[in-house]
Amino acid sequence: MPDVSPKRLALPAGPWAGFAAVLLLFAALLGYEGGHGTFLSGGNLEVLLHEGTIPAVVALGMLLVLISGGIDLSVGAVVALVTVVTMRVYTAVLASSGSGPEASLTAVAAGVLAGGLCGVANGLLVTRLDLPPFVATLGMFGVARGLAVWLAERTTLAFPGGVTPDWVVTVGKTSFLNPGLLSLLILAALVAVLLHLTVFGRHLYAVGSNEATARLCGVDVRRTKLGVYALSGLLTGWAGVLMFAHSNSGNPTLGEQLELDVITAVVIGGASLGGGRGTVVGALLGVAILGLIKNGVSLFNVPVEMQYILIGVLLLANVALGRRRGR
Amino acid sequence: MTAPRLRMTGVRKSYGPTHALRGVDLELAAGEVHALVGENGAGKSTLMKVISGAETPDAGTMEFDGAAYQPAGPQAARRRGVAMIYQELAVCPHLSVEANVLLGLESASAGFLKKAADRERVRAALAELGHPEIDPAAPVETLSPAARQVVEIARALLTDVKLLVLDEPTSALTQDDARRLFELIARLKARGVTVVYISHFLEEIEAVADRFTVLRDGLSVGTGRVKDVTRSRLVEMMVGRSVDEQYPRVPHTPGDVVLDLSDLAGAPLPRSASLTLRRGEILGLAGLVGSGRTELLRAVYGLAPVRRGTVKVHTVTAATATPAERIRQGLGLLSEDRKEEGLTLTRSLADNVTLSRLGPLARLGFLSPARVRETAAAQLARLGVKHRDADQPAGELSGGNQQKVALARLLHQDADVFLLDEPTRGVDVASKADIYRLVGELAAAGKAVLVVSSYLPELFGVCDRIAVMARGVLGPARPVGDWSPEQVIAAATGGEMKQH
Repeated sequence: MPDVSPKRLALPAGPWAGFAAVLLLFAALLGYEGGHGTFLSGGNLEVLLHEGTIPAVVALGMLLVLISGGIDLSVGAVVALVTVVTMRVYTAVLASSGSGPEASLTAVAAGVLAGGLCGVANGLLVTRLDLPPFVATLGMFGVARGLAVWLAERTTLAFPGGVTPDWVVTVGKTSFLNPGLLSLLILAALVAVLLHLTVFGRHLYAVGSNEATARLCGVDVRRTKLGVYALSGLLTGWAGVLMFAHSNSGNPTLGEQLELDVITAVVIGGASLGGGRGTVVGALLGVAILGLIKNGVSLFNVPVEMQYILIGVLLLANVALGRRRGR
Repeated sequence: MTAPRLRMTGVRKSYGPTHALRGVDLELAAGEVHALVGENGAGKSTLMKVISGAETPDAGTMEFDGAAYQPAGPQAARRRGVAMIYQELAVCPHLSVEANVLLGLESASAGFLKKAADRERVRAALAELGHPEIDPAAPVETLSPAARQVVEIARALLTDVKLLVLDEPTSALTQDDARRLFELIARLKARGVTVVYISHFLEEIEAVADRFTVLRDGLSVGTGRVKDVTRSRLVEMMVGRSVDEQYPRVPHTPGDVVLDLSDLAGAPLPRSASLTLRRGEILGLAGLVGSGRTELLRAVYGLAPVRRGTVKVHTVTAATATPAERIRQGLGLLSEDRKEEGLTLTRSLADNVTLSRLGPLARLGFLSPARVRETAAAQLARLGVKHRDADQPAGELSGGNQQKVALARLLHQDADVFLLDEPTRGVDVASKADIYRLVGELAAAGKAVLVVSSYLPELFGVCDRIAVMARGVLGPARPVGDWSPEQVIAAATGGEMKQH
């Protein structure tokens, strides 16, 4: 099939070109400024990967949603909600059972489940009430953020007694062997397999590419979409758990603008807001490009406003070039 | 003799490998109604796009009223007095009649609309077209299709139109509205406007046109006065061969009943349809566009709601079912709208062929890419689809080959009952013959075929029996030999013929 041939997996060319352009840009700056050897250091690469893990996990879910022809604006708020839920459950279970591992396991499961439930709610709004995904998830964005603030009683929740569990410390630490980073690699592989080697994936591309055709061919369009939002919710839930560990707290203000960053990254990675297009490799490259720009801008003392302009221009150039080639 | 309104010489236009126009000569006189006829895919729509400035020809010359004519776009053509009324009407449904007629032509002083003056202009235009009853203040969405068409023509009138192109203008009209349209055309003609009239209905052409030009495979193959030509001669010019070669017969005999519809009603169409379809049989559904034939197929297939009645497939009786269930029961539907529904044009041929039945190509939900590709390749080869490889996006193929891909999907599905909705729409002449042969072979192999077509010669050439749908009610199916084309048309138009 087209989507598993090496050619297609390496595609799309656009994101690779963008990635190379950004690398070249900073390499040129490196030569020009000298001295900033940290950009190419292993330590900086570790930081890049660490900071990119959460948006990348969210991007995997967003990729599925965009391929289906939808959009999910609620992911940032859901991530915040998940951190709060995780901390609440951890605190409650620890208080009642006194067992740290049991509290941790329950809390992580509750966090992922909370994300999944938000995703299912999005999916039901889209498939049962026939709301446009933009509206459904914009509503969920408000509801999730509000729930997070309410559950956290308008503060940031810390670990009870200030005692951080070991696994949270490990996941929060910048390292090539970070479990969160490893989970990203596994999830990325799973999503790629789901997209390219399963019946569900084939149906998903068909629904996003032409919903009427999918229906004609007996594809259960509703179930496919519901599945997409549920999966996206679960992935966002897992990202929320990682955020909980990275931030060491349950914080209802986390994840602001995360949805816009992630949509930007996935679109730079070759996915189309019109649906039917997008690859895991592209989405991850998109996240990497955004991360590189943010990281490089701060390391090279480039004015921070340049970061926004660069990302904006890159997005526009990428999509414009993609359309030109597509025609 | 004065210069013709429009003279085209040797006009060519290609889209990639597809040669839509291969050297067209066309001459239109001032104040004449000129019929442009040809099969789907003959190049009519491309030719019209060239005339209306939407496409630039690759080669050839055009003269308008004696001066060179090379419009840079539809706006430029419009300024020269060329207006085009497309089949899909280009009106803004939420705006008023007045706002639609005046769109882009509003008179204003200092940026403020001069409403009173404009309303008068619109009223005058509508009156001149013989439709003073249309209220300029009414939102266009409240109007009938016929009135919407008048709105568009009124817009052309305001720009001092010299050449008006009407593309299948009666396709959405009732018999009565069509008659009023012909009157309107006569008024325009009296004003000296040249009208190009595109239609599949030869009887309409006889009623309205002075001269005709026949297009076939991108060439103008004949021109003359409508009075001097017979219908069968026109058809021969359009098809380019005799009817026997165009409709290859494959012997087949009817067997058991596989599809049995009893008083089936949809919402709102069809109102009532009963039929039985046997293995090894080809049943044609004739009728006007909008009479409910497409809705019938869709209701049977589970894509449109069923209000009443029963559907029996083989031995299973179920009025409603999802498309997935119908596919499992052995039904296959070829959509009339290949681009929007029939195929997903951005996906590969292999995807398109296999999408409706991925089960046998997968284990535990995991697809075998090699088997998907091999399966699709075999079906594409069987139907003689001209393609590079199975990974090619479906959108790259020509109309005829795309239609074969859609049919390949039904073969892969292993359907028993083929519901074919306008199977040769937008398909070149050679591919049409291939599709007719395939339909015959399917019947010979014991499949049942239900064909909806608006092209009568096709129904007569291919089907064993024909039933006619009129205003949502399906008449009895009779052997094709018991029908004459005139009887089918009379049945399709119901009682309306008697009014004349």
